[in-house]
Amino acid sequence: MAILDEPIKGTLLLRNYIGGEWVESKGALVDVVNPATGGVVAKAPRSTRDELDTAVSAATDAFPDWSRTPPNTRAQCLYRLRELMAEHFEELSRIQTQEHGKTIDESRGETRRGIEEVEVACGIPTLMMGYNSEDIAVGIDEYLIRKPVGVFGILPPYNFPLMIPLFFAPYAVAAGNCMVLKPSDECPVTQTRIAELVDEAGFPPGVWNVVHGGKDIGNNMLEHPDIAGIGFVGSTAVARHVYERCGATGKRVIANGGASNFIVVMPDCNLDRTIRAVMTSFFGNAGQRCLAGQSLIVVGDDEAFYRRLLDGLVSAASEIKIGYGLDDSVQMGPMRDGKKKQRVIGFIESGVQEGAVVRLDGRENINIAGDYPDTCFLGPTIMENVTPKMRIVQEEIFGPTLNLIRAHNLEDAIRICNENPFGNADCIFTSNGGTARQFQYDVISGNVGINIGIAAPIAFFPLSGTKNSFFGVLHTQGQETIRFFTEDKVVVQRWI
Amino acid sequence: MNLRTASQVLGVARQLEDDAARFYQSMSQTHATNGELFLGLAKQNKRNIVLIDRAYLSISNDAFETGFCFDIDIDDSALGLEQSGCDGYSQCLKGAIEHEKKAGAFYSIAAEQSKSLLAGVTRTMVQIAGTKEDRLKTLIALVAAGGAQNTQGD
Repeated sequence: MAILDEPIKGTLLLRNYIGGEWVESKGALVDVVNPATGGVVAKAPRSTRDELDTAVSAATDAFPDWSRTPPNTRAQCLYRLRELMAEHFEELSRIQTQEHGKTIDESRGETRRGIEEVEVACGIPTLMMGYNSEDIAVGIDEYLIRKPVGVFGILPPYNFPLMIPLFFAPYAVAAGNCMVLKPSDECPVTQTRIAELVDEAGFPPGVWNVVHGGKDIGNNMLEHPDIAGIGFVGSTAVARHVYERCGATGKRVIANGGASNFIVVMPDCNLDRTIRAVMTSFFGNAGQRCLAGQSLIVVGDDEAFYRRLLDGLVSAASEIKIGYGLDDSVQMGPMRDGKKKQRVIGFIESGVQEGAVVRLDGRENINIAGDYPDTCFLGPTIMENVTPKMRIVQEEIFGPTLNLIRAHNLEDAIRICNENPFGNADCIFTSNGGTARQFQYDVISGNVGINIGIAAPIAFFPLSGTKNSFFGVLHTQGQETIRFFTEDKVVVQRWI
Repeated sequence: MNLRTASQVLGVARQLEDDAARFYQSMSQTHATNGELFLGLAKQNKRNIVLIDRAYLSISNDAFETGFCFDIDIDDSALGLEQSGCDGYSQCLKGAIEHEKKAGAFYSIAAEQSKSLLAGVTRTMVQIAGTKEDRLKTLIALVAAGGAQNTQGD
């Protein structure tokens, strides 16, 4: 089988991008490893506190001019960035596969979504408009202006190295702010390449800064007095910490946490299409997404339907081709690293100990296409006889596993979804409009899918979330995130 | 070859169109009488590649079922279409007819399998499959008209 050409050749030494300059860090270097091949694709620095301070200073210095730049002019930089990303579409996609492990289809999907974020942010002249009322009292007018705030910090996770930083960054700068982005230290190469394109797009120095590092730099950003707000996506435990520290330090915050998502399957669903959609929901990105399905609730007591569904799921999942994502016939790549693989195995074992029955075991006899080490590879696992209180349902697994739960009726299924501590995404598969509406109405979840396996909002809708999946008020993406990145100034005016 | 992913299926589609474009371009040079017609077919193949790429990007999303949508078995040997592989004008046309039939069948299966999961791709596949049907009629008519007229090296 042919492997697509790898854009990263050798081992890159990553530098920080501060004030429009590429700066070599004094910090220790950490390997960035291709999880499929085991090869080191880059070395990323653990930047120092001083280097972060320099980046924040550069952003602070750039803010007065950038914030006074007309929105349409700011948008021209974003238009150019969009063109450059489109021009380098394939390269950006393959870099993601090399450093993360996801398949080339998944990487291209992610690149397309990232470009979409920039495209929506280009609409800033309209997105940032305020509103007014004449004669709120005789001769007195009132109007609202949206103003940029200052410097923002962006802390994205490893699982979508191109897209998730762009949930925040283009909107932040479009609105007239400056920002410091700390890419995930596990997948830092993509954002380094994006910063090169940002530089080529002609953003003024200091508007867009990239500082590499681990959680120390992240914590420094939470405490930094000159950072006005934080955009974060990661686990619930860290999201909660980010939210608390931002509250303590007076920063505004968007903190997306973890998930344990449900897919409810009604017996009136289109079974074939449901199974295919379920495959991508549970096993796409090797299950490493906050919108992935984790538990599948089969509604009703129809044993024949349950058997057909289970057999169909096991059959489809056992045929998934696993391998290196740059082989375009591969359907599922590896876990991001060996530690994450072992963590998922731990969850499977915990499920078994609590009474789940493994119907398809992804821990064993993993058939990897091509000659690659099995360090990070895991096959799809399906467990049945799962109950809602089990650890594999209550906690986030973030891997290629599918829990099968039975529910007598729709109300029961909705109750199971709502009693879960997370509220990121819940979906239903049904051909009945009334059932779908009831689910949509009653389920407590930020994102809802109806005959959709991954309820991912497009860039001009917010990525919602509730309960332990989100801390904050405003969500990222689209118009709502412009509210996050701007402050309202309300003017009451009278001319005598 | 078994095709499972969207990038595989669209890769095959691109190759089909690319091979056909080069074939018809070559035919336009060696068979001047119908040169304009063959050039037109080549242009249509190149346009199909643009349509395919656009369809892929329009559905290519971090959420859609690009990786799990397809299950198509194709014969690798059916993909190629070269003028150098055929002997004489009539034989070339017959080879082209066989190729277009297989291409049309491929697009129809791909459209069916992607229906409702990758609707943008389905629409493009159906559109291209339709052009293959029209094309078959044209090629069959050329064969029926018979003989090479003012051709070179035939």
